[in-house]
Amino acid sequence: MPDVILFFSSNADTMIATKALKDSGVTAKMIPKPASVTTPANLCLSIDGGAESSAVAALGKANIALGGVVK
Amino acid sequence: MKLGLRARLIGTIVGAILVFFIVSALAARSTMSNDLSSLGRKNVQSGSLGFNGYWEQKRDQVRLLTQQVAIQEAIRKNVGAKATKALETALTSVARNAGLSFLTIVDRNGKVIARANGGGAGLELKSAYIKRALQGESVNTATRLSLDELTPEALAPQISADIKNESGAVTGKMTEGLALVSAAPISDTNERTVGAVYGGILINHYYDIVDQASRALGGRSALIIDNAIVSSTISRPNGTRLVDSATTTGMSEIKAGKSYSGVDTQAGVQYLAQIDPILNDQNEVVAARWYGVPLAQFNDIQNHTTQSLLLWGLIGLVIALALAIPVVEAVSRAIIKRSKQVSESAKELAVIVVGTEVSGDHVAQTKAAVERQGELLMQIATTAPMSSEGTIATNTGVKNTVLAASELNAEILGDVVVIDMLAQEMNGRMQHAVTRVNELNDVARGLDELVSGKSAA
Repeated sequence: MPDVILFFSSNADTMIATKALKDSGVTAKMIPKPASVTTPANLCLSIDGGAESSAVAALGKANIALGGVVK
Repeated sequence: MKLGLRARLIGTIVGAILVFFIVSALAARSTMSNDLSSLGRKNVQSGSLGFNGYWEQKRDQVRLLTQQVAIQEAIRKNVGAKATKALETALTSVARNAGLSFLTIVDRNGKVIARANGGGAGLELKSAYIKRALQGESVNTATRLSLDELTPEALAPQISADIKNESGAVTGKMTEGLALVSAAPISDTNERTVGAVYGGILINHYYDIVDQASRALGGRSALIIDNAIVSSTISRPNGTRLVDSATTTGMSEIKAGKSYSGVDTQAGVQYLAQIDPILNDQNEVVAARWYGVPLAQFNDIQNHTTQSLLLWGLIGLVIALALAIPVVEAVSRAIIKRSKQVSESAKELAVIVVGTEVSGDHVAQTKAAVERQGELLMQIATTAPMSSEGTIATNTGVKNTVLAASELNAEILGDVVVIDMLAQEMNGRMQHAVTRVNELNDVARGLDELVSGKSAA
């Protein structure tokens, strides 16, 4: 499946989200923010489209606010 | 349920004050109980002594009156002349004015010449006191008078009463009276005994002594003969005097000639009482004097003081809370402020820790991509056919490998950009961390001051 981009409100949240996803077994890659995404953070996460639901669940469990998803 | 710091601090203060006041009230009540008990006993003892004073005073009064009668010139003449009528008139006048129950004059043979109550002249008066008086002795004592002695004096109705217990049931009948008597010899001009005067006060249903004692001493008083109250100031629930009532408390001690001190219930009221034996002039127990103070007086003082203590304790609690709440509020606010500082610092430091780990992971991923790119480049270098000029001849396989290496290059470029951003982010955060660590030191100092009350040097 094509990758999806998860973005957050700050670089700190992006880093914490990376750690949370890693801890819950979801592979995420930190990438520079695409020009099409509007957020104060300049880092985003790229994950496999198939892992989106488990990633969103893991972030919810870790109490991390997800800024949005770009498919 | 978890309580906040304010609730815990105020709860502790309230709890400590309540415990203090409960313990104080209990200790005060216990101490007061002992002290009041001791004070009550002393009060009753001194009241009992006072009651004894009134009793002795009345006995002396009887003695004085009979002796005055015995030495009156007119009486002495009339006794010698056995002028019954004149003597009766004189005796009636004295007895009425002085409040004596009986006053009798006998001749040298013990035969009645005249009575204040009239009648019976010529009859022998069989009394041990008369015999002693005729032998020249002046007698003055408390005694018991039988119906045989009281009937000629027309005093039998005064002792004739049923004795009833607490429930009103008749338990016996009064057969003897308690009296203060005095007998004195009457002499002629040659100082020869020509007769004797015998007078006294019958105490049964006679209330002068008990009323005087109670008025002056404040407690209740009673006189007891044969386990029955014959005169008292104790009130029944309906307001009448408690007389002809059976009583048992302390009577065994009285019979043994000892005093009794303790709690006694009369007419449904508990009294702290002292009962003393009344002795005749031969030191034999003839009756008992009862003096008591309602126990409720002491209990009322105890309850009133305990209530006052609790009321003042409550007021103290309110004042203490009014003073403590602002202090607790200030301490709580200071701690909450420090707690927020710690929380924010911890969050920032946690981001740094996580960021360091994430950065490390990302660098590792980038390193792996660079290594893969190196392998691809090596593959091109070793497998692609070379042209005569030494350049790589292109064919489809080589083209694909170069494309893959190019894609990997783009990815590595992105990774490097990310690493650069991470480095900048971490650099900023590390600088911030220094400030946060200083803040944490400041928090630690503030908490230390708050706890120890000492300002840091």
